[in-house]
Amino acid sequence: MKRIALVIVLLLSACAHMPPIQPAGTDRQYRFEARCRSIYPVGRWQLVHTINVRLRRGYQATLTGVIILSTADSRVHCVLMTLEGFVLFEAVDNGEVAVKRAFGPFDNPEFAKGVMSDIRLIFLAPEGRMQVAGKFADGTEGCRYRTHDNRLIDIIGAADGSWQIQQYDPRKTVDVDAVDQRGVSPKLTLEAGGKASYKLVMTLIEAISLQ
Amino acid sequence: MAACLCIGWADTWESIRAAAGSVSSISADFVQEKHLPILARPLISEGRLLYRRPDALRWEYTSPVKSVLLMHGGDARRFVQSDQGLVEDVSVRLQAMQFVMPEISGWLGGRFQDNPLFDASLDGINTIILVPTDPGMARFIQRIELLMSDRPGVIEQVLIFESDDAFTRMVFSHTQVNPSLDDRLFQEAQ
Repeated sequence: MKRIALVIVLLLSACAHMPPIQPAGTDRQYRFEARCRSIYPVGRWQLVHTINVRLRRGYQATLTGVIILSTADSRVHCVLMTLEGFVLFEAVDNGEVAVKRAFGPFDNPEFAKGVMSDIRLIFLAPEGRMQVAGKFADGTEGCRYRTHDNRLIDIIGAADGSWQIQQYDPRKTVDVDAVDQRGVSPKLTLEAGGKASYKLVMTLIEAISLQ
Repeated sequence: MAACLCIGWADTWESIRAAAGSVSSISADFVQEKHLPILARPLISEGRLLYRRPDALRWEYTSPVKSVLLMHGGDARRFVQSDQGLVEDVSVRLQAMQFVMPEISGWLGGRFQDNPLFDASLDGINTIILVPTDPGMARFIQRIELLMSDRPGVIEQVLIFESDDAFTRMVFSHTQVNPSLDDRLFQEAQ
């Protein structure tokens, strides 16, 4: 009995900051999920962004990021370079992260995993089961997913066409400016909380379909 | 981009260095292409380069994002366009640009052989090749090729190879030799 109580307490504390969703009717769940997935590009893409990285204590740096994304096999190839074009980091994620080139502070396995994890959160629809779709208390609509690795992710649509991807534990929030018909957003902002908090502002330079 | 001003100016190191003595400042526009094996098409950037002897450099990108790299009196700073306007970016201290900027300043002064980090050679009548001698530098840069224009004293292209299939090409145009360049161009990003 004590064990059950402990599990309930842990579950409640884990969900403490998770807003409740009023589930939509069963017949409307599919429509909700289709809307939630419309914020992600589908197929093979070359995405180039200017990435402004802001760390605590005011440190900030700006890089150019090239991402080759394949949604069919969830493959990600990422290159980070200086604005002048010098490659600082290159890695491929086929399910396992393989670093091809990395220099200085970018030559760190945890950094590589973190970069790829952020790219997946931003650009790939959650891999896992949609738990519920419906309305939040403030009237916004969205979907909640539990991923294969047991993370909870909300995708929340705002009335102005913008979106928010909310990951709980570790807490990360992605603000997505309204996407075009291809599922490509002109601006994305990721904020990660915790001790090593950081913010990424990604401004789209170009998106090329590689179909 | 200019290095010196004389006929047959790129035939020998001596003639290059001698002619470079007449160059006190340079202004040029450039188009930069970044080629990587994974790219469907190269990334294109445009900007402007200003140099004033002995060590003042302004390397400015106007597109796709405005950024300004300033070098003056041995100090390097970079400013990047953001929501708050042009904001100083500290990452320049971490990057290869710190090595490259003094090198560029050396090229523009005709001092191709002065940097012990690179082995310089003349290839034909219009190409200079720089190969890193330092293993640390060689991790960033495999070699640099400087292609000289037919116009005496003008460098037409710079090719920076990171590997055989990953390289940066900078093509210069509208080059002016010895224009008047104010101090503030090398000290202020605006």
